[in-house]
Amino acid sequence: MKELVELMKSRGIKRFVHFHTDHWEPFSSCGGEWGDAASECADMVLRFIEETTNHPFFDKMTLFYSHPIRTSIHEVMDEDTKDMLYFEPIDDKFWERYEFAVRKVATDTNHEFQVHIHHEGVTTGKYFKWAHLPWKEGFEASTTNSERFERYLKVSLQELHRIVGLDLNRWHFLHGVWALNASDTDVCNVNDEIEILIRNGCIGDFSMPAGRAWVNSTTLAPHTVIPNNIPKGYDTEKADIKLIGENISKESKRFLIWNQEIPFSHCSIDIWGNETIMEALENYMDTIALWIKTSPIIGDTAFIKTHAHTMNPLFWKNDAERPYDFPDVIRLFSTLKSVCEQADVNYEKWTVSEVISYLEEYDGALIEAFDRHLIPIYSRLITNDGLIPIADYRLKSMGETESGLYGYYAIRLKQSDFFDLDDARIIDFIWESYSKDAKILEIAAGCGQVSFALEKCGFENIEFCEFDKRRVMFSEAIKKGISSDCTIHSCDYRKLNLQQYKLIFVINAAGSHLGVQDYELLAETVLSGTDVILRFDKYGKDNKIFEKLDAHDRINHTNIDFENTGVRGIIRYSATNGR
Amino acid sequence: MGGEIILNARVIEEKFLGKKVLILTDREFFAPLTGRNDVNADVINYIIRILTGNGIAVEVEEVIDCKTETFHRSGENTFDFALYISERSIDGFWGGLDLCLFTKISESYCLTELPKELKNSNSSALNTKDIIDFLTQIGILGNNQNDITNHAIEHLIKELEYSMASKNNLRSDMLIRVLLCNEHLDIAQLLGCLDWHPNPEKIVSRVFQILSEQIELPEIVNLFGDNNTLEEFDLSNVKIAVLASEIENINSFFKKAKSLKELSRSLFLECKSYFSGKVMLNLGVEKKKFGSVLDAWIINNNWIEDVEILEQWTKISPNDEESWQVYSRVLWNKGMKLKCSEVAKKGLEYHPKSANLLRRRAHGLRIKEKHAEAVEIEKILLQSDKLSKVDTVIYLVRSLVALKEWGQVLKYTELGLELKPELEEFHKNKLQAQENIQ
Repeated sequence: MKELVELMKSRGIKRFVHFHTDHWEPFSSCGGEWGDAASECADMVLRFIEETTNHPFFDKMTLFYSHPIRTSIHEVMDEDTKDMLYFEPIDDKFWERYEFAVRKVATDTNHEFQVHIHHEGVTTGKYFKWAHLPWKEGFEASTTNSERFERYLKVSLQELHRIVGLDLNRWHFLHGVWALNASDTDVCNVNDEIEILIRNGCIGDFSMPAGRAWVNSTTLAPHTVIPNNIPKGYDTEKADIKLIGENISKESKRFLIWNQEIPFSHCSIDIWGNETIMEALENYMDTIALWIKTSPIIGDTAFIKTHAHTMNPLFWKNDAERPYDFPDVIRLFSTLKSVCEQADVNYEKWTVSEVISYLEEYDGALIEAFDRHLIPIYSRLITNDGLIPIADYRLKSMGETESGLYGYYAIRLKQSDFFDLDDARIIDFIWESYSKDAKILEIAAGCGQVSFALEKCGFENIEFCEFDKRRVMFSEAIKKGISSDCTIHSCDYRKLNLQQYKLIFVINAAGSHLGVQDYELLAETVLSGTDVILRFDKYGKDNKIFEKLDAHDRINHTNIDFENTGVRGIIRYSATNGR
Repeated sequence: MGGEIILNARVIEEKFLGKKVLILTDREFFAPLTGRNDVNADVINYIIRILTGNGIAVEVEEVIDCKTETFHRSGENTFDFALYISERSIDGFWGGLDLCLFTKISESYCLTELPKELKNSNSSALNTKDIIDFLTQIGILGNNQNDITNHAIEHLIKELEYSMASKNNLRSDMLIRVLLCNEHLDIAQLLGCLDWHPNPEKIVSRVFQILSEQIELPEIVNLFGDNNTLEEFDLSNVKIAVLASEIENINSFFKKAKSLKELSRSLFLECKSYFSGKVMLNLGVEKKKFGSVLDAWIINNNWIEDVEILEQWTKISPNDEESWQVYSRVLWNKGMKLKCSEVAKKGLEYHPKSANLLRRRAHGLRIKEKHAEAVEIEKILLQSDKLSKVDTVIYLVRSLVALKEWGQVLKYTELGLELKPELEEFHKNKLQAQENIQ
């Protein structure tokens, strides 16, 4: 013990942080006539809550949760996705029991939820389950691997956000069967996986050191990389591998890979089926010595990352022991804590988010490198989350008219979704087509849901204009409630200097005092270099303005409603030669 | 069948005057074999026994289902009291249950937690006096309601019939567990509820599992004929059927049977309930899963000449019209026409609109020369399109001729001739009628 204390002192650290990354897979199955499976899963989770809430060493785990998603097949290849497979949330009978229990972990404990995805069943590789489907020539299962993985990921993330409140632009990943970015092609053949993860809001991966050692990065410390879309691309020169604290270029978004010198056998507490793990736990003094000697030190803090598959049914059979309660595990951590106390080093338990915040604090450049913009689908979810309680409160306390909701938003509130299809399409289009610093104005914006969602996507200069005073009050309440920086104009938009914007758009200004009389103003605005987007049938009482703008020989018009080609939908007007 | 019982059960439910208590507990009550900790099971069983013994209707829900407000087992039923029995604290673990139960507990709303000292007992050391004192103190027990004790059990049995008929299997599961806690329960009556399930094959394994956890099942020496044995699933079903029909000396049937078919026959003839009869009938059908073929198929393919079996079928499956149809047809074919008519008469009590039974009844009446009654039946059949109209008119006219109702004979022979002008019998009867009218 004395030696361990001296060893600890010799490392010159203030704190020794333990963070546990659990491959949390509590689901076996639900449904069935009797609900036994759902109850069994739910009960297991409830017992997990009871057993860990006040646990001395495992009350603050990071649960990399593998949430089940239903995979279904199209009868013939779907033309939009070019795929035979599609994914949906599960809604089986009795599912609510399981979902309640999982949500309770998020709300009632100090554990943190992150993302664990097993996609080996739905993307090609040794474990692919759908090779027998009639894949169309030229569209074999493997050609859509990346897109399919991303669709699977999106459904998973939305479910995780709904159930456990996952932060969609700041989450962390643990790859199923360890095979990050096609590092084990038996399992994963998604060469651009890291790029997809970053695009969807992921900061880093915590699979290493892995149970299948060949996937491990050769850099045995936490480090960041840029995407390199080849198998195991993160472990190549092109990935621009940088240790924490090393200089990084400001241009690229970077991806964290947590690796450590401490081998798999000495950081796993999966107390079943692996002799070396059991030996490491048994020889706990040696293991602690190894941890102290080789744990990565960042600033004044040393880290030990452990992992287990806590919800493995093997650990939940009658009389079975859970990893976190296994006497050898408890002995190891009790000893480590004593060593820390005697060495005057703080022993602390952190979640992965706390680790990341610390890294950003230590190396400020990581803040920008880890900054993720929400993609539109998530920005709408987050905006809804913010809007719904505000709208609900206003409606209940002020009524439909005074609240500014009127009938339209009252109905949308009932549907728990403030966005209609046009809103979604225009957000997608703007997100794809304009730079994030473009100055954008929305006209007749209602409560401003589209503008708020654009801001959540990373657009920095969003303004919107609304003439109705009650609607503006509603918008202001939202702005305050969700801490938005959008500029709100409470006036007739025609009084604004429209030529200062890169884009102005109108989704719904039907039946208002607007119309063809605005032709001169809008044409002039477009010719000045400002793009104008109008929704056909929804600008004024008729469509005369569209006829006039279409006929202008120096103005281009494009239908951007790509899902409804052939009919007039959302039209973008731009100057023939730009500004 | 289901519809009638649903109505009956509802009427009973509305008339139930005793108190109703909802017990909220953990999963262990419903899964004692797989659960972590069934130390409370004996306490819960005892409380249910005490309450039902005092005329109080008890139902049980899992606490998690209260939190999700999806009451899989008690549906929309409301209760006078909710009694919480769990190691987990209502507020500490669940964050309170009052809001979830707001609509569940009617009028004198009361959610009470069983005190800690009354939990964690094992059956040998149950603190029965304290439990009764507690239940009295909180007002669940109190007024002596022994006079309506059976009413509570009857109420729960009716609820079980209703849940069976409406295929609400999870509710049936709960009600069976609750009823089994009552020491005076008539097991045959309980299992009689299986008769109401449209697909008993869907529930039978579960019922067997519950029974095997709660009561002693019949010991069967599974050996018959030339060293033959029943498969485990069939044996389980036979055990339930034996209890449902209160068959005594079950092993003697196995001992005597020379074949599976003989075993099936002898046991079927002993059955008193539809479900147990179905089980025994299915025994004789090899390579077919229980419930995968209709009873009528089994009878038609195995027992069509066996009058004893057919008669038994009508006794235990009177609601199955096919049982009367097949039995009466076979009797007719065998020339036992009066017996056929008597069977048809009984069958008509259950299926008053059955065209074939009406016809067979009418045949018997004609043989007995009760033509006036036969005429009434044939007139009913004439309104239906289920049998040949020509045949009906022929039989009708024959009886009318026997009754010498010549005006009626003329009327119906003219109708007969419209339907089949070439039929000599109609011409002859018409002529006879015209002569008699003149």
